[in-house]
Parts: sequence; structure tokens; C-alpha cells
Amino acid sequence: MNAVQGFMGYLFAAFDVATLQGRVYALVEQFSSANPLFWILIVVLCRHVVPDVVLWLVYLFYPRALVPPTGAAIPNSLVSVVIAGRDVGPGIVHTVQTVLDCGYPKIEVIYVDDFSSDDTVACVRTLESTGKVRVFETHAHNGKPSSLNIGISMARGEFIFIMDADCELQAGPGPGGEYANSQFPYGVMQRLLAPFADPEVGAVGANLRVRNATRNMLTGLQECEYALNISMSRMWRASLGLLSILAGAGSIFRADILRALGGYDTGNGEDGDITVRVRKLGWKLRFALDAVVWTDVPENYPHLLRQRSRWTRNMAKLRLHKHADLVLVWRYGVLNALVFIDIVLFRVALPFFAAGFVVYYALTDPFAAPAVLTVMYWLTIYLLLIKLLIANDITATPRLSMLWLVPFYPFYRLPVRWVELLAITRELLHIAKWHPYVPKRIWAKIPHW
Amino acid sequence: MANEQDRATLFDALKQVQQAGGNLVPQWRTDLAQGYSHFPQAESAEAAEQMLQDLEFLAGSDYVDKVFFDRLTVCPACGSHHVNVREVCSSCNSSHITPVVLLHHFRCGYVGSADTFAQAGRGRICPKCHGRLEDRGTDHDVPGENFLCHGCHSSFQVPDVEGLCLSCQVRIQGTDLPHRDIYSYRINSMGIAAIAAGRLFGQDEELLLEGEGLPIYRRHVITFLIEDERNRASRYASDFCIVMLRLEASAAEDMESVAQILAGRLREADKIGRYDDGHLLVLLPSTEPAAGKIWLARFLGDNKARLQGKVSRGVVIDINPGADLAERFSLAAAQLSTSDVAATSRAPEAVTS
Repeated sequence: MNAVQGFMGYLFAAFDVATLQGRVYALVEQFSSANPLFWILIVVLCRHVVPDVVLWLVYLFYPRALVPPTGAAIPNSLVSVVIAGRDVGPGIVHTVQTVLDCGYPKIEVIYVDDFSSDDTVACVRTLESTGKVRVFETHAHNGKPSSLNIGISMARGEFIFIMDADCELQAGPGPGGEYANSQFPYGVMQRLLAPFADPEVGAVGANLRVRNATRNMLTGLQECEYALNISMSRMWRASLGLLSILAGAGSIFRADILRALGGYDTGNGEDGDITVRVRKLGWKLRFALDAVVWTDVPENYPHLLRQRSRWTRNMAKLRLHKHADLVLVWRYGVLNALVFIDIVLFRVALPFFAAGFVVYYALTDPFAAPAVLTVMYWLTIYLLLIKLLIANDITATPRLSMLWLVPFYPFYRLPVRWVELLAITRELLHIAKWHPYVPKRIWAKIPHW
Repeated sequence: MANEQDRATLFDALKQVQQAGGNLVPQWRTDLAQGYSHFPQAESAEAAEQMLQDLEFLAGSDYVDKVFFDRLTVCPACGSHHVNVREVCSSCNSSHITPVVLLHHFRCGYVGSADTFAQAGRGRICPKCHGRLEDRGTDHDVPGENFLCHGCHSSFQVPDVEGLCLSCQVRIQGTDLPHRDIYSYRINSMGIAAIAAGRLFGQDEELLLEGEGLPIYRRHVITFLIEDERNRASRYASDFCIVMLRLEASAAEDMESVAQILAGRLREADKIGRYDDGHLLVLLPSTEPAAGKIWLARFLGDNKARLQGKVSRGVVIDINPGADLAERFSLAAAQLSTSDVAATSRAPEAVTS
């Protein structure tokens, strides 16, 4: 009990000015030390905070670098929107309708149904009368990559926009504006196409935002996470040529590139895989901050943990096994090598290091040194607030009303981190590799790295 | 009823049916816009059309039976049967479309038309990963078939259906294509009786025949009586029952004997009518269908010897307030023709004769 009381005392001692001052001085003194743990911490903090700060400064003084002006030249070509879904139900009608209402005239929608057992096909076929929607109904469950490839084979457009069946395009102007009517000339599609004025750009990722953020605390925390790890992170990565993933929920490609690649490869993690394959061809990737695609996030922890486990396993499989050759500078260039190193260090090595750090202090009685954990906690909170305020200023997400969740953010991330660690471990040890998203008959035929 | 001149014209039409062997079958005529002609020797198309209308009148007056012969797709603009029905592109309505078989290679996920996979002996080579496709279902499958439009290069799974009239060039959506049913006309006993009498029967001659048994009404009359009874039952929440009896071939010409047998089992308010040469309708007012089944079973059972060779089967027809009478009768007649035992139109139980 004394240990607990002591811990709690340290936790709230941050509100004591004198204590806080002392800790800041102690922290400053560490800069003159040779403590490797401290310098690792500094590197990690710089990696996670400095890019956001720099981005904000760029936004303040040169916003055109982040968002192309409305007068930018926009390709006027047919865009094929390919959507693959299974058992989506009547929601697919709303999804397709947002595409039809996006204000871009030259558009066609191809929905590929992956052997749904409900009335999804009947619902979406009601939109065929618009003349812009075509539906392909498969005779067996093939998985999302193969379903997308069917849609790609049917696409006629010069650009192909890949979208999830449960997402929706934002109508009207970009983030920060109210939903306007679809006659606004610069809707999502135009904003996605604007970067293609550069002939070296091969693909553009949309900005994902959380549609059900106000559902509960968990979805609100995920909105904060999406603001940091998707909106902000991808923005500065794309600026530096280090964008490592284009969201499968909303990304647009030059059709020739997808056809040259033969479409998606079977297996999970098709969005990360196609991104790396496009990078390997030497194409530039861009991120359209103002092209918003709304998506729903898990509303309960089990669902969230399953999702993150799947994402992490796919990341480990693709980055560490299938595309480990990305690090070969002489073959794929410096930027691709940096992408690989960044992922290995901060998505694989750092979580293990952090886990080891926690275990070490758990074994050495953390309550005997509560200052370490409490300082780490409050430092995380302070920096999170800074990052989220920057994100809100640039991207209008997360909403300021969500900032009261910040103190809970580390506790939200903790189980996710452990699940991610477990997923990486299972992937590295080749434990239970099959996932139900991939049909068994197909799984038996695909190469397993 | 038509005037005397019309009646003479109608009677001539009836005689033509008899002269055609009792069954006037339409002839296929490609040169005619209507496709078929019942009177290929007619002086003009208008004359043939008038004679066809006469046949329709005779069918409505129960002198001949209409038998379904064929169905034509016709142009809604000019009525011509020269309609070319074809599949077209759902985007540009071009008829220049070809089916494309898609192949899906499991190993790499590539999907493409079959001709993009090069032939290699017994199998094919995947253009993406250069793997071999040999066993469908094991290393590849066919996710479906698409159509490719050579006009706009659109790919789609379900083409539209369109009709193009070759006479007036009007394009019609497949769902809007009208049909015209063609019938042959077969003389029935009523028509034969009229031929024997040398005239069509007057309007007041509603009865087919009458004798010692109950009168047997003509088809359109018994239909009217049943409709009237249905309305009355609906208004006053009462019941009624209709029984259809199947007549053997010999009894079709001797309905009077059947009527005499029925007379002993029917009330004064009950009515008998002729549906066609092979079927009689019995209207039982104020009778529940269940009671009708019992009546039918007893009638067939108690008169088994007398009905031998005349009536062997019967069925109680269930008539809902909104049901189409002609359709119900037709279904019941079809049921009796296929069933070996008397049965109810709704319940599966059967009553043997």
C-alpha cells in the first residue's frame, strides 16, 4: 500500500510546480550524459515529434507545399472506381452513391461481389440504371485481392481508385469545411487527381478519417490515432518521398501501373504490398490531405485487437520477408532503403525494446522507481497534446472536443502494442499463418514468405 | 347480339372452323406483319383481321374453344413481329459484344481473359507470374464470364436485352417488349349444335340444354353466376363452393345423362354449367369448401356404377375474393387431367371415385 501511495504521489507530482521544475532540470542534465537509454529516447521522440513540428511550420509559412491550390491543373480523364465487398448489405448503396455524387463527371464504378450470402448484389444492382455502375458477381469466395483484380480487368479508366465497400467519399470541400453540394468543382476526386499533374507520380493516397468517432471513448481515441498516424504521418512521409503505404480504403493509381504489376497479389495486406511494388518500379507516391474518405473503426476492444493483429502480421510478412530486398540501395535507391530501415527500427525493433524496458522495470520492482514511469507518462501526454493540436490545426482532426481523451491514450495503446508484438513474434516464427480472409483453396497455392 | 347480317357472318366463320377439321390452326406467314394467319386465302389483310375478330366473338360466346398456339414478340409501334431481339452493351447499346471468359490464377491473384494466358501443352501460362495453370479448381478457376463491348470497350457481366423492329427501326428495351398470343380455334359441342341447327343461338338461349335433369348453362353464363355468387358471399360473409367434374370422352356428347345423375344430388339453388367439352362446373351456394369435398366424395362414391365411363374425377376449386376465375378453372382442369384421383385444389388429400 505504501508503494502504491508512493506511486500515485509521483504520478500527480507533475502538477507541483517545484517538482516539475526539478524534473525538467534533471532532464536537461541528461543531455550531457552518455546514458544510451536517454539518447535512444531522444531519437524516438525526435522521430515522432520533430516531423510534426516542421510540418506545422511549413503549413504556417508555405501552405501550398502541403495542399495544392484550387487552380492547379487537374487531369480530365475517366476514373474507374473499383470496390470489392462481401456481405456489405444495403450500405453498399450509400457507398456507391457518394462516389456518384462526388462531382467528378468522368467516372465509372465497378463493384465486385466476393460471393456474398446476403442481398448485397441485389442492392447494388439497383444503381446499374445510372449507366455508371457495373456489378460483377463471383461464383465463389476468392478474397479481396482477387476480387479487386477482377474489377481492374474491367476498368476502362486512365486512373483506378480503389475503395473499401464500407467507406464513403466526403462531399464538397476538404477538411474543415461543411458538407457542400456536389457541384463544388473541387471534390475528393479532383483533389486525388491533382498530384498526377506530375508525370512521375504513380499513386496518391486519400486521407482517412473516422466516421464513428463520437460513438464511444475507443472510437474517439482511434480518431486521435488516425490523425497522428495517418493524416500527419503520411503527409510528412509523402513530402520526403518516404510514404510506405497507401490505404486500401482509398487510393488512386495510374491504371497502366496496376496492369503492369498484374494487379494485387493474393494473401493479406494487399494495400501495403501494392504500395511497395509501385515504389519498386520507381514511381513517386503522394498523399492528398484534402481528399477525405470516411471509414468506420472498431467499436470494441476485441475487434480492434484482431484488426491490429492482422495489420501487424501483414506488415511483418511483407516488410521483413517478401519485400526485405527493399533495403538494397543499389537496386531500389536510398529512399526505399530508408523506408525499410524506418519500419524495421520503429515498427519492429522499438516495440520489442519498449516491451523489454517495461519487463525490466517490472522485474526490478517499478514501484521502487516510480519517477521513471510517471515522467514517461507525462512526457507522452505533453507531446501528444502538442502533436494533436498541430494535427487539428493542419488537418482539422481530431476534433478539439476529443482532446480530453489524451490522458487515456497511453492506456489505450498499451494492449494494442502487446498484441502487435505478439503478432510480429508469430509471424517471425511462422506460427498460424493462415487467416480466414484468404480462402483455403487459394492459401494452399500462394507462396508463403 | 349482332344483327342478322353479323350473325350470318359469324355463322360462316363457325362453318370455316368446322370445315378445317374442327380445329382452325393458324398458318405461319413470314410475309405478314402479324406472322400468323388463320385465313391465308382471305382477300385482304383487313378481311382476315375481321374474320379473326369473328372467331374471338365465337369463342367468347362459347361456340369455339381458344387453344394456345404460339406467342410472338411484336413491335409496340407498328405491331410487326419482325423484331430482332439481341443482347447489347449496357453502356452504349452496341450489339457488337462478345463473351469473355475470365481466368483467376490462385498463386498470384491475376485475373484476365482466357486469351491472355498463353497455351502451353495441356495448360496455360500466367502472364503475371509465368506459373502453369493445369487443373481448374486446384490452381485456377473461372470467377465468371464477362461481356466485352467492342464499341466502348466496356466490360460487364449482364448485358442488356434490346429489341430492334426490322420494319420501322424502333428500338425497344427488352423489358418493354410486348407479346401477342396466337390461338387456334376448336369447335366445341355448342358450336356443333349450332351447325346442326343451321344458326347461332339467340341471346335468350342461355341454357346449353335442358331435360329431366337440371339445366346446364353455357360457359359465360355459369361464369357470370359464379361471379355473382362470389360477390354475394363477400358481402354477406357466406360460403359457396365450386366443383369441377371431368367428363370422359363419351360423356362429352351426352351431358344430359350426367345432368340427370347430378339432379338427384343437388338442391334447387345449385347450378350446373359447361366449362368445356371435357368439364362441368357445379355451383353450390351456401356450402363450405369442406362440405363440398364431402359432397364430391359421396357423389362419386354413391354413383360409381352410373358414372362409370362418364365421370371419374372431380375437384373442389378454392376461389378467393380476388382470384381470377378463368385462371382457377384452367388450373383445376389441368389438375384433373394429370391427377388419377379426385383431389381438392388446396389440400393434398384425395378422394377416390
